[in-house]
Amino acid sequence: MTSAVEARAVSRRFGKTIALDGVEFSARTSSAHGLVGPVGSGKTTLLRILAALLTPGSGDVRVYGHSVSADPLAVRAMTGYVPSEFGQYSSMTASEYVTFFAACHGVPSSEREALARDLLQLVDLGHRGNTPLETLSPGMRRRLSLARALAHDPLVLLLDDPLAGLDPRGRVEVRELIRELRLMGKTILITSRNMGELEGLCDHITLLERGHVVAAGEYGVLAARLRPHRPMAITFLGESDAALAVAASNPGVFDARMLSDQTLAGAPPLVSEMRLNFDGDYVEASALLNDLLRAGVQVVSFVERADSLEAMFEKVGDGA
Amino acid sequence: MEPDSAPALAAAPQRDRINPLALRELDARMRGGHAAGLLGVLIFVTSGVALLVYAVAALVSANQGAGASRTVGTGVFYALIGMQLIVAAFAAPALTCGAISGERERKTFDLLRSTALTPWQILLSKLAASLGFSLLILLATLPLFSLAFLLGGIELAQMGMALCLSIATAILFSVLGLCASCYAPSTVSAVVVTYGAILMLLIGSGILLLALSGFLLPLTAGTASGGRAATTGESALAQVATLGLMSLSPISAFVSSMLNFDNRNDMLRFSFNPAGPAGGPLWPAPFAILTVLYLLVAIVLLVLAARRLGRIDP
Repeated sequence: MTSAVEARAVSRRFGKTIALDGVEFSARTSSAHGLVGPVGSGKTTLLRILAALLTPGSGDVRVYGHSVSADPLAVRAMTGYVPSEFGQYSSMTASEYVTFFAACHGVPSSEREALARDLLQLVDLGHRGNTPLETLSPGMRRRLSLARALAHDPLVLLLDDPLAGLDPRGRVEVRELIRELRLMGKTILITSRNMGELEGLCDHITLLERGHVVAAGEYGVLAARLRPHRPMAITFLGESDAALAVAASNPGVFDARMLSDQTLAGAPPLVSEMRLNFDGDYVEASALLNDLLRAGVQVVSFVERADSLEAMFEKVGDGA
Repeated sequence: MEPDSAPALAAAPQRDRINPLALRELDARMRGGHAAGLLGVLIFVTSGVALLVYAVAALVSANQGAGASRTVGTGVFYALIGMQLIVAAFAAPALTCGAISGERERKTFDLLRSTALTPWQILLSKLAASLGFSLLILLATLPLFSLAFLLGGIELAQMGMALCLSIATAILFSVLGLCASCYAPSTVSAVVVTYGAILMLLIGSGILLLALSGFLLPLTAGTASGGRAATTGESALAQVATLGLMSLSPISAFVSSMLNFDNRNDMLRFSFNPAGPAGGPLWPAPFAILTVLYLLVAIVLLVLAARRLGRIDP
């Protein structure tokens, strides 16, 4: 198996602050790799090093064999960097934005207009080519950033928190786009504060905390290791006793409890919420739902809660 | 895991004849009515100042007879050059102070750096767009000088000297702003550093010249302290020091070069003792020294700025 990106013992300081300390990871060609960690964990620093915008204090990062320190121009030619914040020139339209960066990458002038049109089409902004940047929604801006990063057809895409700050629809659109880019053979590195956000997007995850790699592995394996029980939330109408009894009798259920009324402030008086940890697969979860319905519990929602990253990190710290 | 072999890099991309960043900068600066409006206001103000000086000078020199017209012409010329120097010293750097720091603040700096543009291309694009506009302002006021020529008292050499000074000043102060913009963490601090340096150069050198003139000027004329005759070495050293100080600021360089031309009718060579029997040693005129000095310093500052941008993590 081949790796497109390799980081070896990468460290980086900013003054006295250690941003990265001996980070190692590699990303396979045409894979999607998640860099997950809380704020200050070093994700963005690592991504900027990968984009040859920062030098590693020590260690080395190679993109398709090119060192970011020794050959930054070659690395920049191979990478498309999408920062978390949208860099905007005033009085530019979406089409002009892509065309301008294509020109900066040396795309011949005869090809730029068609390229911009194709890229805007790809990110579903084909109808927004003449729209001023200021009037685009955050989701559109994020997609436009992706189009901009693709202007020189890079092999590797570096996406810094691409889903942050988007509404649900925007998130779905950007996720779809990332999947599509992956199918086009791009190697994609994505940072996120929430591992659950990368489910279905990344096949490999590296967890960072305070500049260290605390866990790494395939998404499914890592998720199972960090979250052996599925935290679930079930809301229903009516009394809680029957629901609680059904849940407690299921061998896969742990820690079933009702949420206090205070937590459900604002909900109609008859709605109750039960939280539990469930140790079983989807078939067993479905069986639990059936048991509840058979017992006459009027289930309104039956969802798996995304475990908080903090809780995951506690588990990593505990040696999970 | 074996590293993937590096794919062959694409052939050197076909470059535009004009750097796309320079085009964008020019487009952003010239698009809309702002540029034309600013140009119009500056020409209007400069014309107003010239007319005011014309009126005052005409009033003051009304009883001078035949020489009145020349006095008025010289007054108008001084006023117009003063306005040009103000534009070169204060408006030109305002256009470059935010060139790089503004990109950082707009979050577009990393985007630019991640393209195929080199640090020199980024810098020269920014400089070309800003300086182009400053020079346009300077050139746009040139027709007003015809008034001074019409009235007399001014020669083409003086006009050329003044233009050299204005352009060299605009170039250095623009590059100074650009360099500060590369190093400063924000546009505000770049502005403070740039204008601080400009004021030090304009006012500080003048104050230094005035403070030392009591000591230096007698020496340049051959008189040492206590009334004794200064040695040739002492006199030459004093002349070099005075010339150096006069050549630091465009104001002192302009005034001293004008006086020298009036006395000697030679624009390029300067003498401290034009009335003396041999005229004393001849030096390059302060405006010429300033022009060369400013251009050299501008090149050094550009190299520093490019080195800063060229660092992988500026």
